Amino acid sequence: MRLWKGSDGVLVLSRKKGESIMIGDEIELIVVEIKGDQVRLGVKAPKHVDVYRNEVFKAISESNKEASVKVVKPDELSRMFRRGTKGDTVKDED
Amino acid sequence: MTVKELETSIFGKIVIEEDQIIRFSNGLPGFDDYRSFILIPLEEDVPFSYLQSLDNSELSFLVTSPYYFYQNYEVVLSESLREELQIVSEDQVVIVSIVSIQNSLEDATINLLAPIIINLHTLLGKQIILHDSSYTTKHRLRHAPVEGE
Repeated sequence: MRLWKGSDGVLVLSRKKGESIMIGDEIELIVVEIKGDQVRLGVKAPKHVDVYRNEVFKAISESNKEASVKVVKPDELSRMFRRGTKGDTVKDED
Repeated sequence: MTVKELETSIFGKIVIEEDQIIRFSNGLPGFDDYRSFILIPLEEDVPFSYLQSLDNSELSFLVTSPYYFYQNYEVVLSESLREELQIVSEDQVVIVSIVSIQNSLEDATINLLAPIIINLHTLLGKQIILHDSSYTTKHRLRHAPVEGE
C-alpha cells in the first residue's frame, strides 16, 4: 500500500489505535494509545537499531558540538584542576 | 603492531598504536562521520582524559569518569548494548562522560544523560542515552568528590 506524501516531502498516513506501519521489513511502529494530543507509540526494531526521542537526540548532538568547540588545553586544565583542589589532597606542583 | 602518527591541534604530533584505537560504529550524536578515537589520559592526579578523533585531528572531547564527581551515578548496560560492544563482564568496561568547559571549572558541565561506554577488550565504544532517567546533558562539575547527588 503506497501512501501520499505531505507537502514538505514527509509521508503522512492515518492509523487507528492498535494499527501499525512497517518501515522497511524490520521496523514496526505501533499506535498503542491515543489520549488527547498525546500518542503512545510502540517500536519493534532489531537490536542494532537505536530508537530515541528526537528532541533528546538533538540535545545530545548539540551538547557534543558545544563540548567539542572549545576544548581546554591539557596544561590549562591541569592548572584549573589543581587550583580548584588546592589545600585539599592535591599538591600544587608549580 | 601498526603504528600511525597524527598531528593534533591539542597535543601536537602523537603516535597511535593499533590496539589503542576505539571504534564507534555510528560515531557520536552530531559527529556520525567520525568513527575512530583514542583515549588520552592526563597526569594521574587529574581525573580527565581526552577522546581524540583519528579521522579529524581537530576534533576532541574532554571526558571524565562520572563516578569521580557523582558517586551514586547509575548506568544500566542493556542486553543489546552488551551484545553490540561484546561485553562479557563489567570489568571490561570503562564509562566516561563528556565535559564542557567554557572558562573555568566553576562553569564546567558534565553530560550525565549520554555517557560513553567503552569495552577496552574489544575496543568498541558507543555513546548511549539513558532513557527515562532524570539526568540531563548539563550537570555541574564539582571540584572535589562529594557524597550523594
